[in-house]
Amino acid sequence: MNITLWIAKSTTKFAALALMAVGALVLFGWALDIQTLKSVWPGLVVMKANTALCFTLAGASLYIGGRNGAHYSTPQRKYAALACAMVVALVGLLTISEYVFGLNLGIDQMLFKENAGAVLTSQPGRMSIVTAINFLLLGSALMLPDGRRAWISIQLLAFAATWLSLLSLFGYMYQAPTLYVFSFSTSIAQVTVFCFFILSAGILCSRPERGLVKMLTNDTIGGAMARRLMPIAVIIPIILGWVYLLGVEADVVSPQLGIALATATTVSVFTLLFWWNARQLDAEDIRRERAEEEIRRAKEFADSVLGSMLDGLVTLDPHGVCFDTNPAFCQITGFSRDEIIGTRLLGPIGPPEELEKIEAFFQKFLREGMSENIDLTFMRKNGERFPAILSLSVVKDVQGNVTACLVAIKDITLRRRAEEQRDRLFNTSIDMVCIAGFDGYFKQLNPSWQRVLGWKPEDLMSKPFLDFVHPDDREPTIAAASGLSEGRTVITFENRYLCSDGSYRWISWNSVPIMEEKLILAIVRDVTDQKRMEESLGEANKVLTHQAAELEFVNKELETFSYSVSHDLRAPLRHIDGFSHALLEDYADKLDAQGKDYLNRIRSGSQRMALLIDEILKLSQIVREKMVTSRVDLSALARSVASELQKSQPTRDVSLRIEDGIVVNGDQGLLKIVLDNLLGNAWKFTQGRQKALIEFGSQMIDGTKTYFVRDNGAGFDMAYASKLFVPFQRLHGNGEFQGTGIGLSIVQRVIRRHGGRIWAEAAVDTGATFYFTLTGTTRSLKR
Amino acid sequence: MEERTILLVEDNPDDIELTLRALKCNRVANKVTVVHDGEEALNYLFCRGAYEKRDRNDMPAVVLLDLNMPKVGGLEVLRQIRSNGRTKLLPVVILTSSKEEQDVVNGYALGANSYIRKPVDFDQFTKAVLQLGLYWLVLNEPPPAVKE
Repeated sequence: MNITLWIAKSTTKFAALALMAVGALVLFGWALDIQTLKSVWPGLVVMKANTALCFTLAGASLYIGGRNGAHYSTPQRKYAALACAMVVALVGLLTISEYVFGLNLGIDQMLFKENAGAVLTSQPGRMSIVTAINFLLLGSALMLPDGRRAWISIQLLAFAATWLSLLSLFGYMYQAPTLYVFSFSTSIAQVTVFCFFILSAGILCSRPERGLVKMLTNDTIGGAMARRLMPIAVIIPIILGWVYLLGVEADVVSPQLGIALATATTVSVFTLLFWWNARQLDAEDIRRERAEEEIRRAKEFADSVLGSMLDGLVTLDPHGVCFDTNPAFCQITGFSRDEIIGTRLLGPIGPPEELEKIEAFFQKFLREGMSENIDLTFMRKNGERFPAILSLSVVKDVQGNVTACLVAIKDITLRRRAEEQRDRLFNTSIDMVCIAGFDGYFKQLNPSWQRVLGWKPEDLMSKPFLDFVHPDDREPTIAAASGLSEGRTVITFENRYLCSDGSYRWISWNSVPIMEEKLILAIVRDVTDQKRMEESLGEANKVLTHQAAELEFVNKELETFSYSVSHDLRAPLRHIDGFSHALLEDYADKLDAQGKDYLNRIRSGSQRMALLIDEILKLSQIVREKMVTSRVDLSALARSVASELQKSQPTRDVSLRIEDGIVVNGDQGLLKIVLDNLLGNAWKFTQGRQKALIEFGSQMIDGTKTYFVRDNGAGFDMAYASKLFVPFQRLHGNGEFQGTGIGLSIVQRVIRRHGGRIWAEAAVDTGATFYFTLTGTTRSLKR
Repeated sequence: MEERTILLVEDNPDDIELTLRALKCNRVANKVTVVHDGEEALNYLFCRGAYEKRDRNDMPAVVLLDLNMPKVGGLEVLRQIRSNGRTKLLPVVILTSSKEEQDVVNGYALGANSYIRKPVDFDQFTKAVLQLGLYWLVLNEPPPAVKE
């Protein structure tokens, strides 16, 4: 309650009490005939007894009426108050009629007798006409009912009474008896004038929330203005009037000048006053406009925040009924704003299966006033379900009552989908994938870990990962981990991890640190098999290197051996032959035919052995010979071999068919040895044939280019084909065909060195065909 | 025909015997000096050791040189012959059992005039020696004696 309102209410109470007190005092004076008490102050005009009575009754009516409250407290008090007011009005009315009609109704001396000739008194004991009119006016005002419309009348009545009182007051003040002395009437007492002011004020203040007083007590700018201007508007004219009269009476100024001065002063003062007030109003107005602008901006800001929010937002009243949404909510749910407003607890978007949960959550929230965010499934208008996070907050008024709930809904469909995809990738990766902390523990592991190492994820996560690392690998692992914690990426770092069966497996790490979360992301591959393969490859390489060294050594040995064979073995043979020859020549006469025959056999034996030795050397040389690969025209080579053969036995009639354009990659010298032998054999074994035919050509066999040398000579039994290429194995006696049995062995070695193979098809007496290929790599063995 | 000697460098007595026999069969009447190893051959040619008193100007018409010998081998003997001013033009014929390519190449590289591999068949050997004698002792014009 503001202070002016309190003052107003108090005014009525004090006015009522003051009136009753003054009335009682004056009546008491009349009863005891004490002049001073009758006029309240010595020397003043006395108040008539009726007047005092009326003031007492009016004060009582005002007090009992208790218009401070909304209604009369009880009907009895109401009627009592009404009765008092009626007496007051009646006294006023009767007195007026006495003046008007010149009657004496006897009411003037009703209470006490007054001596005739009392000061300014027309009839003894009769109150003045102004007093009577005022009592009629104010008594009526007190009688009027307590309604808004009646209040206007009450106020008018009070104003009229006040106006009349003021006239009298000014009369006394300006010492202008014409204002309070009427020839036909008693004069009003000074105290009476003040009592009327008090009564009017008391009546006006009895309803401080209404009319003029309301305006005075209001907190509004109007109230402030009224409070500011009212006293000045009252006081200034009074003072000016008084000063004017003083001036005129003292003959300081003429009445005309006085009026002019008073008017000018009034105009100036009021102009200033209005200007000052207008300025105050203006400032107030600007302040209010600013405040409005601020509010408008705040609202706009709030609206734009809500409008631009990506999260859906609904506001619910304390009963859970929606009264607003933002655009994001409509976009997320597919419902329009109008479809949502008025629904209860997110009604349309709560899927049936979740309704209970939503209700429980909301109730708990209202009860406790706060909540954690929860994940729920909601439903769009098209029925599609979507995952969302719900968060609630409340708006409270000054008293702390909940006035609204704000519900924010975050659609996490995309996030959930991304999480699912990440999890799928994580779980289906053949490689081991993990997230580990800088604290040395695994945080998350995919199923591959169990598949590879045998440990369950919880086993691996229960201890620092270093515990699983092979003791020999711990130091480099610690180094790698500390590098990661400093932000360095680790690529193909390998260490051994303990498996659940006690064995170790080699794994290779590709790791990146996530510095802000102090985590390591790693993709890890089991490289045990690869490692083993590398190891065995290394072993194989070692063996190969060793074998190559050995081979070289053996080759060296073979060379030395061949040298000694070629040199040292031949010498004794020469001696055998030489001395056998000496015997035959020098001792021919001492030897019989048989002795000479034996010596000849010795000689041919030693010569044959020498031949064999040479052949063996040739064979070993073929293997040791360094191969020089180039394009070799086999057709040309065959023709040159054939022409040599024909020159060696020009008498023989042999038809040679040599295919043109057979060109291969190989060693020219070695391939000539092949053709020398094969064509030589064909030449040899066709001797005695009437129409000898020797062919050299090529054909595709099983997709491989195959060359052949064919003859129609003696051929051989295929049963012995396996012995063909064994050194010194011969299928024909030396009597039939000359030879050492080394030629085909040499041929086979040359073919092998070219990466090919050789085989033969033959039948006795129909001829033989030797096939050979030269495919594959033409590897050259080191000498 | 001026008496021109043949220097036979050969360690094996059988070979010496057979070589001499082949020469005799071919009626090569020239004097044949036999030394039994490389060292002796060098001593003879450079008139050292046991041959200190030998006439320095008496140089053989041809040296028949075996390769496989104890102490100093045939190729070393050849090398020393070719590196000495007095003997560098001396005709040297390598007469050996070996037909190894490296021996042939090395022999020619060191300046052998000829390389003959002794055949096992004595008849062929005889023929070879005949041609050898005919060529080196009769047809071939020896280099002029080197004055010291």
